[in-house]
Amino acid sequence: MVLARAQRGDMQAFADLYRYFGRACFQLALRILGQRQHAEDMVHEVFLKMMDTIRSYRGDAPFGAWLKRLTVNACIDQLRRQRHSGEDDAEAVFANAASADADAAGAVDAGSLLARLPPRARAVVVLHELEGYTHAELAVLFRQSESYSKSVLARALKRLNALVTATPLSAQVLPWPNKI
Amino acid sequence: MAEQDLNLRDILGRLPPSSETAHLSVDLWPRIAAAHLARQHRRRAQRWTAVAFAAAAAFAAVVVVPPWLAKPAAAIDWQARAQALELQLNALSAPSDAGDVVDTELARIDDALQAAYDRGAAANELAPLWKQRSDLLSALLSARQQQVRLTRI
Repeated sequence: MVLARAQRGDMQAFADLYRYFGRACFQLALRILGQRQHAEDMVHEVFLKMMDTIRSYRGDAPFGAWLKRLTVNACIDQLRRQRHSGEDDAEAVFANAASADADAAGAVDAGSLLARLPPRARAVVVLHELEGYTHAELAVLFRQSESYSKSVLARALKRLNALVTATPLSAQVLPWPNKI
Repeated sequence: MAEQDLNLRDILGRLPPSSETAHLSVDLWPRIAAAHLARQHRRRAQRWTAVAFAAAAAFAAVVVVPPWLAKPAAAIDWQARAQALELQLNALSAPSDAGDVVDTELARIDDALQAAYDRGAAANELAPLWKQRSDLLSALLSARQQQVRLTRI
């Protein structure tokens, strides 16, 4: 079993885990962080941490969920490190993001749509809307109140709605590669 | 608005990432593996360093430190000892033929002590004289207790 071998420090088992989960980890990080380089750095960091801590994995939850949790936590830590002053306030999260709407008429895919949100707003949208995190969980992750993530989410969705309304979206949506 | 929200969530759920960012760099895993192995080597080296340091510390504790840490042998107060012996001697009745040799020797030591005190001699110069006096009194006490006479060879 791959996990058992990985827990013994087998490098080939780690390589197998990377092959199974690396891309999912990368795409989640990319959606949250919005930049390819940052997302790859996050995969690097998450897998190093996974290799250090896999012995503490008891199998209480599926391994994929455990790794996803590691990824989300690492991404939020990264956002915290990048935090600009005043971003603890939901209003300030959007304060400098007006220019992001400039090319709203361009092609829309998940990356470009989410990229038009400020980093923290993007993280809240991805985690709440796509990953199913509750506001209570987001409050813990961001070390903020629940009303903070609710407020950020409401503003982010409003902004995305405006973008979608202004863009002929149905013609722009690209299918998932594995559905071709 | 509610319909738009649902639409947006549905769209977000189905939207792929940009095609240019869909794939990981092919060299990412080799870099991660190399970093992991480097960290392992570094930790192993740190562990060995710690073990070597602990061993060196243990060696020093066992072999090197004790002579330095050992307390110097307690200095014998020869003066107090000589005075105590003299009190014991005085308590014994002196034999009629108390040896002149002993008296002469005691007198010589006492003269030396007096001279040393007169010139303000240091303790390390006085201690041997007090030791001589103490040894002599001890021998005399022992002789009197055994009722033998001390002679000088």
